[in-house]
Amino acid sequence: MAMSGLKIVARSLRVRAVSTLISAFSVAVAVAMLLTLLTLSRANDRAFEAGTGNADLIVSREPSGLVSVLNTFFYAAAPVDYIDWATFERQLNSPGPRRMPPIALIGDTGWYIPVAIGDSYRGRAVLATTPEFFEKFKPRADGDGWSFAQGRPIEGAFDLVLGSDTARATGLAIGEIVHLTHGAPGPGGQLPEDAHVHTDFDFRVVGILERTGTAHDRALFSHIEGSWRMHASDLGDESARDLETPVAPQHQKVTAVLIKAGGRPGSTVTAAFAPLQSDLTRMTGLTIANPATEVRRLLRIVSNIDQVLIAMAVVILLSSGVSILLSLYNSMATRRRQIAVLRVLGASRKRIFSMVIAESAFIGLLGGLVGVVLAVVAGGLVAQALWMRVGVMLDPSLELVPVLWTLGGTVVLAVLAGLAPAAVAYRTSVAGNLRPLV
Amino acid sequence: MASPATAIPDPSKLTQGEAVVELKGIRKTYYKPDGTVMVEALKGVDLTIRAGEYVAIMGSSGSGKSTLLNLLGCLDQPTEGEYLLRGRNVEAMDDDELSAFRGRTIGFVFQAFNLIPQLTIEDNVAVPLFYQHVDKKKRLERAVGALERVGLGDRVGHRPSELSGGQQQRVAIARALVTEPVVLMADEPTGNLDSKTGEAILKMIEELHNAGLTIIMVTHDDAIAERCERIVRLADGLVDTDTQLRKRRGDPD
Ligand SMILES: Nc1ncnc2c1ncn2[C@@H]1O[C@H](COP(=O)(O)OP(=O)(O)OP(=O)(O)O)[C@@H](O)[C@H]1O
Ligand SMILES: [Mg+2]
Repeated sequence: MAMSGLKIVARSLRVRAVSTLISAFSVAVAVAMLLTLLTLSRANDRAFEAGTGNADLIVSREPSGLVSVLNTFFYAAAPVDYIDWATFERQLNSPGPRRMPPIALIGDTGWYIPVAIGDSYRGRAVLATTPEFFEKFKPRADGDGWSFAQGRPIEGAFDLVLGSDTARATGLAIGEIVHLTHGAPGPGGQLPEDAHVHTDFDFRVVGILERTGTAHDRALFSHIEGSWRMHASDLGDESARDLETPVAPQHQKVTAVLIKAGGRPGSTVTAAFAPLQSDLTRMTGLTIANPATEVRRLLRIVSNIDQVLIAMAVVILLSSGVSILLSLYNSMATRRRQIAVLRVLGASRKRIFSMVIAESAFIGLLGGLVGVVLAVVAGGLVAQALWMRVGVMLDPSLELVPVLWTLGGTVVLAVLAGLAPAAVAYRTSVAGNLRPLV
Repeated sequence: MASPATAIPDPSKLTQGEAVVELKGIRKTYYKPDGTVMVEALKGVDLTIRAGEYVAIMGSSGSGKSTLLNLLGCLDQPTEGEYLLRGRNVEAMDDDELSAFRGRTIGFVFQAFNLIPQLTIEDNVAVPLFYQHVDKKKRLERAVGALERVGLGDRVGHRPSELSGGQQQRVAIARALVTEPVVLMADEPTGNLDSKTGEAILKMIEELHNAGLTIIMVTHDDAIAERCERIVRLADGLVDTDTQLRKRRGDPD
């Protein structure tokens, strides 16, 4: 369309600026909602899928596998029950029904790493583990292992490593001494009633991790031996303060064990995985779960909600199309004369039709573009809120393809909404609308 | 491609005495929504107007003047009869074709000036050229040229609402002329103007006639009609009288 045609369209939209803006705004809100939901639900899935890292199995005493996954990988809450580490290792090494200890299915290429969650620092959970955690466990299923922004992994019993966000938020630097609080914070960061600060055990910051985009960024990591000694001494076992004496077995408590199936040389990982899971399941009182399966289970529940929300956004988008339709349709009554004049000046019916369609498409496009901007803002805010409250790191950036689809769909919808008013304009009689105003 | 018989006539090749409009047995009936006859506005009009004529259409109110002019301007379809515009049967053309042909052949001026209030006067004048696919630069040049011709060169950039009624009607005339039409159709062009301003508009129309433009003008005013070369008087939907007041411009003595 050449300029003067656009000018006529633009000017007549401006004359009806209020109704144009209302229509465009209702489109914008719907587009923003749709894009935000699409982006976040996708980002959410990705964050959850990636967030369990490369562990094949998680062993715990939680009431369900899903709870253990949420508590261990996403720090949702502190586990309530413990696994006795010495007993677990013994069972792992004793022959099962296969006449072969489960450890054989872990083999040289697999690993098992204890973790204990229960302490905190300034509202952030501390995950006590072994140095292997930084060596073998990968925080993202789809990424590389850990990398350190500063310092090194834990070695000594009272070494402490900070997740990237923890380091940023607390301002702690390498070499600083930290006292941990007994009791892990709940989802809102509130501490249990029996919380107290372990002032007599100095943990020293030895490393700061790079950002991983997982909930681990908000955690701290200590050596599990230090955690055992601290709690043993809390319970009155003063010998635990002596680093030369091994920690008594009854104090060796873990909240979960992360396992990677390896298996005998030559056999595939998946071949070892199923028998290992069944062997472990035989160990009474333990909850065995495959993190990926649990997360998928969770996402299935969530995705039903997503679909409802997305369907609602689509309905809102459709109703914004109706609002374009009504606004243009109403404007036709007052524009009959203008249309008749344009016809007199040489506009064919088709030109008039396409002029109205162009107006409609313009409203749709304007609303769509504003909606994209709103979606960027809203996505950022929602991601921020989720990160602060739940510790799930979402990437709120919009993907080009859904944005283009949504914009294209919005313009198509607007064009469809313009059809009826355009048809009215098309049929507008010339002679009948040129009578002098009296 | 269009055959020579249906090709759009080139306005520059207009020959003196060529029939610009030719009505044969034109009837226009308005119907009620239920299909019964409401008004027979025209009841069989035969009329030929040739290139270069200056014709007044008169008649009492409701006699069918505007209806006739709308039909002449292809703004409405007759219920019955044949209409040839520059020799071409209007009925045979589709809307696109007719819009283009009408746009190149006829310029309109109305009692209500019918300018587009949202556009500046030069944009108003440029609108017909837009529909003729004239490129933007040329469009503006020609629009400003047409405004200068009607003495409004200094008002470029203004909106219609910032102009007096007489000035607005001059903008409307500039808009009608910018496409260099063959015939100017005016429906009571001075009806909304005081006599002094009306006189100026009339002078302008007479000048255009002297320059060769065919003029068909509906008027109520005997004094105005007396200045034309020919008066077609309608009564009750029929041509009552058709008087040649003076010889047609350019006709041999
Ligand atoms: N759209 C229409 N629907 C129904 N009747 C119409 C319509 N337009 C005109 N008429 C009728 O047709 C007749 C002729 O109307 P027209 O407007 O041509 O008269 P006119 O000669 O221009 O009158 P005036 O001098 O008052 O402008 C009138 O009776 C009018 O009521
Ligand atoms: Mg009239």
